[in-house]
Amino acid sequence: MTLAINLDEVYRACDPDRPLSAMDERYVDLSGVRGTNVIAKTISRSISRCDSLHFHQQLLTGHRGSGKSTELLRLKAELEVQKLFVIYIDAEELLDLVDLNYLDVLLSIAKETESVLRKQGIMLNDTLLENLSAWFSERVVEKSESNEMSGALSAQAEAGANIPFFAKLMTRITAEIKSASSRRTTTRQKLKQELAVFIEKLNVLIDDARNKVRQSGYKDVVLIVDGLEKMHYDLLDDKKSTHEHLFVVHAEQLKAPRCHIVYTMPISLVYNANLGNDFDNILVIPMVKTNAEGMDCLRQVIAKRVDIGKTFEQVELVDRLTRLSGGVMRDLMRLIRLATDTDEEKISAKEISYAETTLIREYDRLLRDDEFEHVKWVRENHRVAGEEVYARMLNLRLILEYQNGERWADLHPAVLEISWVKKRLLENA
Amino acid sequence: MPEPTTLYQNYPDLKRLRKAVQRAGDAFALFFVECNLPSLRDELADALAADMLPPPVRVDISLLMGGTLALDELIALQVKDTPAPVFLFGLEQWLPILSEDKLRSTVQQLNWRRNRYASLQRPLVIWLPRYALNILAEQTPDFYDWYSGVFVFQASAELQMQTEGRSLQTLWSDSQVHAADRLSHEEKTRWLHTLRELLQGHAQEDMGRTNLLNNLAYLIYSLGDNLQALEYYQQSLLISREIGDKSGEGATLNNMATIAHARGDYATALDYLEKSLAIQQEIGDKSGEGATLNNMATIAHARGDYATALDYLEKSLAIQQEIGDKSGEGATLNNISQIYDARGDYATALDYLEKSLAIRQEIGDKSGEGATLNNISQIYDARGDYATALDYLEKSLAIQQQIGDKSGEGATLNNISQIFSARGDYATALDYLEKSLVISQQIGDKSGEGGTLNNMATIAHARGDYATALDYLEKSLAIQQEIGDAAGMCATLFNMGHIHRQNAEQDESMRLWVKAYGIAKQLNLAQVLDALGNLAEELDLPGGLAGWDALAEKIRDE
Repeated sequence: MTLAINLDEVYRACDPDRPLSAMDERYVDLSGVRGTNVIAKTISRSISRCDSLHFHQQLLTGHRGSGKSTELLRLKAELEVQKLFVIYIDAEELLDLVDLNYLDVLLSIAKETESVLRKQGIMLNDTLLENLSAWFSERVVEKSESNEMSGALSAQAEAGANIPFFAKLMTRITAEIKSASSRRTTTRQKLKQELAVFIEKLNVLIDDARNKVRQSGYKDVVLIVDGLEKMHYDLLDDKKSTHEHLFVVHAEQLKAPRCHIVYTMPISLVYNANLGNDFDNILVIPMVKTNAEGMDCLRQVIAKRVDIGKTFEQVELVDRLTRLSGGVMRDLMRLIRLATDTDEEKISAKEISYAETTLIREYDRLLRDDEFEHVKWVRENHRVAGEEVYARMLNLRLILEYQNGERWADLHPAVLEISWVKKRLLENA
Repeated sequence: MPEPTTLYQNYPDLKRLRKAVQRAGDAFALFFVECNLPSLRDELADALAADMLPPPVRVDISLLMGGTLALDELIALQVKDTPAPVFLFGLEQWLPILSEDKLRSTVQQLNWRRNRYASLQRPLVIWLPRYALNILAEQTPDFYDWYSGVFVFQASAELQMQTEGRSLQTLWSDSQVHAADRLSHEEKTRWLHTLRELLQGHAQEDMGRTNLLNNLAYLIYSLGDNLQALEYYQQSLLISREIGDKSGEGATLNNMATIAHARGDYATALDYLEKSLAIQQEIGDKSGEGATLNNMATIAHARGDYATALDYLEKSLAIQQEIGDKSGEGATLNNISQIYDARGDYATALDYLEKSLAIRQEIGDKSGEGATLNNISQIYDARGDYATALDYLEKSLAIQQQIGDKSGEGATLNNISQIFSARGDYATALDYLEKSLVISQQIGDKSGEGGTLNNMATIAHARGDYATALDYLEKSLAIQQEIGDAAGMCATLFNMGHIHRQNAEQDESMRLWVKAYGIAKQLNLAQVLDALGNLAEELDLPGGLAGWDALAEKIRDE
């Protein structure tokens, strides 16, 4: 891995949206300064410690841009080393995050379990798949469409002889669920009517999958459902949020698949009192603390990508960026990119100020005037009450979660630099 | 337009934006540009395009409301294989606050198709006004949080004064049709919201604000709310007076006169116009003077005072020829023809119309051409040459459809229906009227809707279906009442009276005519007063017109 030595390379080296692959040399183990154990290790240990009668089912959360996806990719690699078969499901790719329902999640599990195994050359039992197809065709897909669909699908079947009808059927149904078509509602209604049967069928499928992977030399199956933390936030008529509906009201259904499973969930739920009774544990990927030790680590994150001496006029300038980032990886990368918007050869104090101003202004854009009271409260108490308004602020990263022996929260440093916030804090002091 | 170098000096972050886009190269990167003024936005984008290689592909989606394609697919189609950055304009139109469904579907696709944008493999620069970027930031946190840079360009206060009016006008005046006349009702509502939002953010009492107020007023006027439109104009007038903007004051007075005219309140309209004329003469605004004289002529014409109308128009024509205002000349010649037409001198009327048509075709005034063709058709119509009349109307319709002049299209469809009606082909006539009605309702043109309903009533009446005719007239009356069109109400009441008379409901018809008389007297509507005078004779009311006064008193006493 060569270090960036000019600003074009710096720009390219600091991509805020590319999670590091499991083997990437640039990975810096931040668990020490995050205040967590090595996340991937913790989860894989819990899974391997389960006896054959229990499954490890857990929730994982963290702020947008906190390094969740990087950690999940490491987790996947770690589990694979331990001979566990990982079915990684990207909800963002498969489902409609604006309108998401526990049934959709279960459907996507059914679909991906079959397809991921098949792509690894592991075929599920034919009769089982036929049986499942028949059930979906009869009970879930509308009669007239079912005929139409099987006609269309059998015509395709000749082209791709290896792809079972079940796979095509599931692709079709999940595509409909994702595309907000009118059939989405009817499909959900029917699945809901048949919920007990559906879950039973799903579990038969999963059982067969576990069985088949064992025959191929794996120990077990682990499902990772990523992307659910990005689901749309909305308050529904019953005063519960969409987030709460999925992870609290329907926790039991999410736990229904009989296998190890990791779901990502929105950070806004972290303080929800009703959460967690159903799951084994909730792991938060906290922000990197910006104390001396944390700042050191963050500087390392940069130093693994960039030759600081060759690209910054003074080495200390880097610290201004790490401090304002609040330990948010994405903000740190972004600040560096902003600082490269210049024709100069090195990043000077002027560029640093520009990057700071931009980030502060963008947090100002998100903060509402009437949230000032909460800003004050969090600043004084370093924690978050379970109210919905904090959910919004956590979700938009105005408030950050840290781990310091116990969990604590603070405002994003950029929020405290917003001029009207500063002024009112002074007036209120 | 300032030189690009000046632009770079005034907006140092422009250079940063250019650099950022260049650095991104052939990798995806997301940038937002916050800019409230379309004119400034265009200047900045032009300046950037001028010194970027390859120049950016500009994608404007403001006119693509809710297609079947997702945004990333739309962009992919536009850029094809060229390795150029993309400047995206008009996304604010996809984020309407008033239409929750539309907002939701945009939010949805931005959030879940996020990864598709990366496959564009080029920087994407999204230009948005402040309010829209705020919506995006809050509603699509995952998409927004992807940004590599956000650049804010605000016009300096001075610049804002010079350009804001222009910017809004350029959106609307690229053809001669006022943009409000080519928008659907839904789009108007959206625009209304945007303008109000801009107005809120524009605290300064300056020309920018008066321009916003004027645009809002016109939009609201086109939606039929005359009184509210008048309020906005009045606010605008006050500011113009305060900041000493004489020319703005004159223009606004003219617009206020249009509304008073639409309401049939000719006296007030004339009052505004005379004030406007005085101002324009004071500041030597010849072109404005010509327009005002034309409007004064329209009032005189409506009152049946053709001599005065002609006098105004000839003065106007002289001014326009003096200053070489071709577009004004075309309009005035057209208007002069209407005087001769009203007098029954069709040959002279046609002469003026042909002169008007020649000028309008010469300068490419499509909207004017459509109107003049329409008027020519009316001459042939009056002469009973329906085939030629229809020929001109079809030409007119084609032009209006081509330039999106919805309001003109509605009027032409109405005129076409009159030809079929005159031929006795009521079914076809009704067909055209229904098309016209749909357009009026679509664009929220209440006054057009009322007129069309009246024509539909005439057809029902001609077919002997009095109940239906009365039904249409009552609907029309309700609309006229709503928009404060007193002159229209007067005519409708008059016609309703006739139908009741045919139904042998004498008392009801007298009651309606008395009402019509009250309005006609107050507004001095010559044509209706004439008709009522004839009617009084026919009904043997003592004292002619005065008979209506006596009757009014009698009804009041009861």
